[in-house]
Amino acid sequence: MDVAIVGVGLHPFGRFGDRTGIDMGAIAIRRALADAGVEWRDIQFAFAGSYEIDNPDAVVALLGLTGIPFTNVYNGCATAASVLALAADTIRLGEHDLGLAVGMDKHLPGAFSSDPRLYACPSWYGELGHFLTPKFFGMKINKYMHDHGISAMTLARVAAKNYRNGARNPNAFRRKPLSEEEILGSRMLNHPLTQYMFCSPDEGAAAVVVCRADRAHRYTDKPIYLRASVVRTRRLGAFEVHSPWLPIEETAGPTVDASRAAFEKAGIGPEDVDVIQLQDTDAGAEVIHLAENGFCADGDQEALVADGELEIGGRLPVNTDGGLIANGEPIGASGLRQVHEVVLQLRGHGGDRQVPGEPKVGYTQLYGAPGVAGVSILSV
Amino acid sequence: MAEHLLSRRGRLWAWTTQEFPPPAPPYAGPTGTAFVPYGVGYVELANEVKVETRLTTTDGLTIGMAMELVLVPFRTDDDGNEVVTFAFRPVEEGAPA
Repeated sequence: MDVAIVGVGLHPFGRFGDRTGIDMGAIAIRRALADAGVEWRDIQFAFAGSYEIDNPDAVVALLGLTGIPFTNVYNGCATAASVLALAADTIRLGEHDLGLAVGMDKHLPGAFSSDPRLYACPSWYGELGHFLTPKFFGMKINKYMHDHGISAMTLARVAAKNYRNGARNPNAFRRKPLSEEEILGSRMLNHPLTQYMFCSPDEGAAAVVVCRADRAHRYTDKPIYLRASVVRTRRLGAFEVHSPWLPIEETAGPTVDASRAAFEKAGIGPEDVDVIQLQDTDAGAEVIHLAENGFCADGDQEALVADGELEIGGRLPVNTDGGLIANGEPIGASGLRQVHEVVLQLRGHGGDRQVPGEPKVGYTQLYGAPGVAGVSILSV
Repeated sequence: MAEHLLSRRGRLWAWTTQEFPPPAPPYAGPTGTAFVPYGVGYVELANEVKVETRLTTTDGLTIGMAMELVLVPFRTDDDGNEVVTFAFRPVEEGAPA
């Protein structure tokens, strides 16, 4: 059973004072329903993702108590990818024809933290300050730069690109372009990553209406088909966050595994993709994920970035809406924001962010603690 | 399961610096104006394991450099006792194994 996306909706990302995460979720859902031309009563099932809200399905109080199956999902920064994958699998099972995937979150500023014991890590690991994600990204890109000849300027250029794209996105959080010099000159947080190279936790929501592909034309004359929606977790030997130790032998991370599985399911390769949204927790993550998702070989990124190939008009447009760097990171929503952007691009509704040449295939990837990745492939 | 003593020497596999105090809790170390940036990384103990560790410096770190285990002060507890932790420091040239 094939799956189509027939509606997308977004609540802007940023900081919204007293507006609750649930309110943002409801707004995104109503926009997605309107986009699909359906009512809440038509929705037969739903999945919702959030980190801060323990029961995001409570959003039905704002939409209507229809008694549908509505399940909550949390999978670290890969939450929204998991929400979409579950919604798509429900259609594929043949249980239901029309459903909803929504993600919503409202975070305080500052690095995410928790009790390490909840992650099978010893208390001392947290007491020492190791239970923190930004340093993992610092270590990973620092090593990658050493191993594959990537410069700090490349990181600054990637961040600058995302701020520039964010300036063209009315829904983005950070909409002011920043120069490479400002980015490099900002406060160092975890060498080599400076403050402006990192995304920031914030607030927002995104929703997607999915349906059976053979019924999609009832709702839209341009359905976007979900060719793959895959989630994978880390295998032993992968270099992941919150690892007090690692084995000597390295294995590929969950992003590589999810990417390969998704391309196989979709029956295409990276060369077929026209527009890409990658997890840019920081500028280094975007660089690494470009290779982990199969779009280039390790080390190619230095030339690709310098030549502008990751720009909206380039050969490999990445994070056309500004990514996490410009939109910020409301954990539950980010992956569905990526899907929202890809759907707009494939419909030709990207406005002044539109990738030229009528893109036909889009790709999204998320990665999060404690080592989970989600990939989706969409096409016209 | 049996106890196995790991090597005290290894090679620096990955590193970064921690320039801001980690959120507390769970961080129990000095914070605010008492916070001093520190190095953190993974040291590969040959044929055994890679271990995540504090590093004794934030300067002059290069991947592949020889490192050795040391104990360093971490904090002072409420009773005035010094709490130490493990860390790795660059091996000085010519130092005995």
